[in-house]
Amino acid sequence: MSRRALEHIASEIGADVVETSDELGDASVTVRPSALHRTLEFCRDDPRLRCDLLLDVIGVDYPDRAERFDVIYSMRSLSTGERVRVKTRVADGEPVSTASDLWNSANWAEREVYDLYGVPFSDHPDLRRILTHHEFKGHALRKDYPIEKGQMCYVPEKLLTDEEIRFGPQLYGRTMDRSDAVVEEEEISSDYLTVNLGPSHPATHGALRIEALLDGETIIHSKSEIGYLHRCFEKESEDHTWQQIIPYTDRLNYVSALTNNVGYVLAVEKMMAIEVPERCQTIRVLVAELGRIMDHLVCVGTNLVDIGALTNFWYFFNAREHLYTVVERMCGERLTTSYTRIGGLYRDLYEGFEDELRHSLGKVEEAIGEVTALVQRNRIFMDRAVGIGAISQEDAINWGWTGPCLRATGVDYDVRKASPYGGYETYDFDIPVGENGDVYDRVLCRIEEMYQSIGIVNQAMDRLKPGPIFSEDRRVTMPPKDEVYNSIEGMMNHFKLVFEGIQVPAGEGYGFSEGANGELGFFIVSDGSGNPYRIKVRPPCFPIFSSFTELVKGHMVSDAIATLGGLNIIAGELDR
Amino acid sequence: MVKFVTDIWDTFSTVFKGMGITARYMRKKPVTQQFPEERWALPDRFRGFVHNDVPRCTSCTLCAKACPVDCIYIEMEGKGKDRRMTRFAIDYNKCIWCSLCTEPCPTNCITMSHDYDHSVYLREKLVYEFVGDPVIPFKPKKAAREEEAEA
Ligand code: SF4
Ligand code: SF4
Repeated sequence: MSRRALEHIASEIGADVVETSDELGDASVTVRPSALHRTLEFCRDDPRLRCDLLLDVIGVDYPDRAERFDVIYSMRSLSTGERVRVKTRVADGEPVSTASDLWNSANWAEREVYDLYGVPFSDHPDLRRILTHHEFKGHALRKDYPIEKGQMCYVPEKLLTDEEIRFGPQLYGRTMDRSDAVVEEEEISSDYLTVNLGPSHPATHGALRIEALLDGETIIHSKSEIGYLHRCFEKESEDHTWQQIIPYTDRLNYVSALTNNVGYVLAVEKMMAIEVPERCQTIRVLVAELGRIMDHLVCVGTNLVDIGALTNFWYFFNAREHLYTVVERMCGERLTTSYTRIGGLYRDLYEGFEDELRHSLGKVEEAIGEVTALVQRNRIFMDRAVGIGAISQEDAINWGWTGPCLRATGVDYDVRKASPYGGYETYDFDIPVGENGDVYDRVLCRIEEMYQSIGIVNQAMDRLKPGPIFSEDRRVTMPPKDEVYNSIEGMMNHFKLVFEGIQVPAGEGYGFSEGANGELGFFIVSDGSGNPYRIKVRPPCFPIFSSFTELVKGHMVSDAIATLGGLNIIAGELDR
Repeated sequence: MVKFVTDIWDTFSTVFKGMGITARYMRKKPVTQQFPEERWALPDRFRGFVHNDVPRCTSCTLCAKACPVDCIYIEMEGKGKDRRMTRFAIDYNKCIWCSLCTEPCPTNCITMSHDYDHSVYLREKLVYEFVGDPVIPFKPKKAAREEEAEA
C-alpha cells in the first residue's frame, strides 16, 4: 500500500523527488525544498492518498551534511490509516515554505521546529519561539548545543501586541455600541482588558498561560504560551540509552503513565522487529487500558470541578484510588510506573491480581454510574456544557485533533481500530462518538470509553495464561543470572546490554499508539548506536491546544475554563 | 409548552436523583487516613529508597551505569587483589525511583527498600554513603566455593 502511495507521489512530483523509501510500512519521500508545498498539497488533496491529518512536523539535525536539517512532515489518512512522510533537506538558514495554509496544525508544529532547530519557515503567520523562552539564545536540539548549558531568561513574553489590544475591536470584528457617546480612538482601548489566565492557575491544570483580551466577560481574542514545563525530553533522550528513557516517558503524560510506557516500547520494538510473548502482549493491553481509565477519571473529574461540580471529582478520585492500589502492588509505584521494558515488562502480575482488579473495576463502574446519574441530564451541567467549545469535524481534523476530542465531533477514528497494534485487533470493543464536538459530548465520550476500556481489561484478564513475559531475543533481554555467572558469553552479553545499551538498527520509524488523549507517536531516528539519534514525541494534546484560541473566541471566561478542562491538556506532555 | 414542562420535570428529577446519591454517601465511612499516625500497608514491590547491601556488592558499577540520572557514585582504589571500594553513595536528590539499577545487579544486593519518609532540611543529607572504611568487593564465585567447603 505504501509503495503505491509512493508511486502516486513520484508520478505527480516527477524530477523533484530525491529519494523514496517504505521502511516499516510507512511511505517516506524526500523532495527538493521548492517542491515541498506542492507535494504536501498533493498528498492532502489527492483522492487516492487523502492524508487529511497532519500529525507532526519534525526536525532532525545532521551537522556533517551541507544541507544540514531534515524537515519532515508526517501525515496520516484517516480513511485508510496510512502514514506518509514528506521530507526535505535544507541548509542552515535556508527557509522552508510553510504548510500552515494547508493545515492549521502546522502552525505550532513549525514553530517548534523553528524554535529548537532554527529552521525558518517563509510566510508563516506567527513565527515565534514556542517551547523555550523568547530570550533564549541558540537552538536547543541542534547537535552542537551542549546539553548541560542552561540560560537565564527573565522577562515574560508579551503575548498580545499593543496593536492587538488597541485595535482589538476592529481587528476581531466587534463593533461597540457607543451610539450615545463620542469616543476618541485612544479611549476605546481602555474598555478592553487583558487578563492572564495562568501560568499557575488551578483551572489550567498545569503550567500554561493564556493572555485574553476581554470585553466584559467575553473573550474577543487570546493567545497562549506554553513551555513552562519544558524538560528537554527529546534532548535528554539523545543522551540516554533506549532503556533509560522509559522512566522519562512516565513524566510525559503523568496521568496515564502506563499507556505512555507501552507506547514507547512498542515504537522501539517496531524498529527492532521484536515479538514479545503473548502474555506480555496481553498484560500490555491490560495496563494501557487501565491507564486510559485513570486518565479519563481525572479528566472528567477535573472538568466537572471547573464547572463547579466538586463531589463528582471525589467520587472519581476515590475510584481511581482503588485502581492505583492495584497498580502500586503491580509495579511498586502509583504515578511514575516505568512498568514496561523493551522486550518485556518490569515484573509479572502478582498473585491475586485478577481478583483485586475485578473488585476495583467494580468500584470504578459504580462511580461512573453515580457520576453519570448526577450530571448527564443535570440542568446546570447541560447549560454549562452543551454547545460550549464546539468544533466541526473538518476543523478538528484540520487542527490535527485525535482521540476522544476528535471522536466527540463524530469522527469514529481510533488508532486501535484504524491501524491496530499490539494485538488490539483481537479485542472486541466499540468506539463511542459524539455529535457536536462540545464539552458535553467530550465528557460523555470519555465516560463511554471508560466502559469500553473496562470491557477490554476484562477480556484481557480472561485470556491471561501463564508464560514468559520477556522476549527471548538476546539483543534486548538480559540473560538469566546463572548464565551470567557460568558462561563467558552470558556475562559479556549482560555487561554489553548495560554498558552499551540496547542497539537499535539504524534507520527511522514511527511507532504509534492510542494514548489517553489521542494518537501518541514516537518518531525515532537511530544511527545504530546505543543511544537514539533523535526521538520526536507526537503528544496528542499539542495540536489540540493550538486551536484553543479559536475555540474560545467569543465565549465567556468561565466557558473557556470549561473548554480547557474538557480538552484534557497535560502540560507535561504538551511541553515535554 | 411541552418542552417547558419536561424541562422543569427534568431539572427537578435530576436534582432529586443527585441528592439521593449524596445522601447515600453521607452514611458511608470516610476513606481518609490520619497520616502519619495511621499508615497503609506497603505492597511487597513498593519502590522506596534504594538500599545497597554492601557486603554482597561486587562493585561492578553496572547499577551506576544503568541509572538514567547518574545518581550512584562508586569509587575504587587499587588493582587486582588490592582492589577496594572506597565509596558507594546514592544521591536521593536525583533518584527517580525507577528501579533500573536493581535489574542488572549480578548479586541482587541493590534493592528498592520500603523506606520513604526521610525528609531532611539540607540537600547534602540526602546523599547516603554506604561505605565507611574501604571494603573488599564481594566475589560470588569465591563465596560459593567457601560455602561448599564449609558444607
Ligand atoms: S532507582 Fe533509578 S534513579 Fe534511583 S538509583 Fe536506581 S536507577 Fe538511579
Ligand atoms: S550492580 Fe550490584 S554488585 Fe554491581 S556495583 Fe551495583 S550494587 Fe554492587
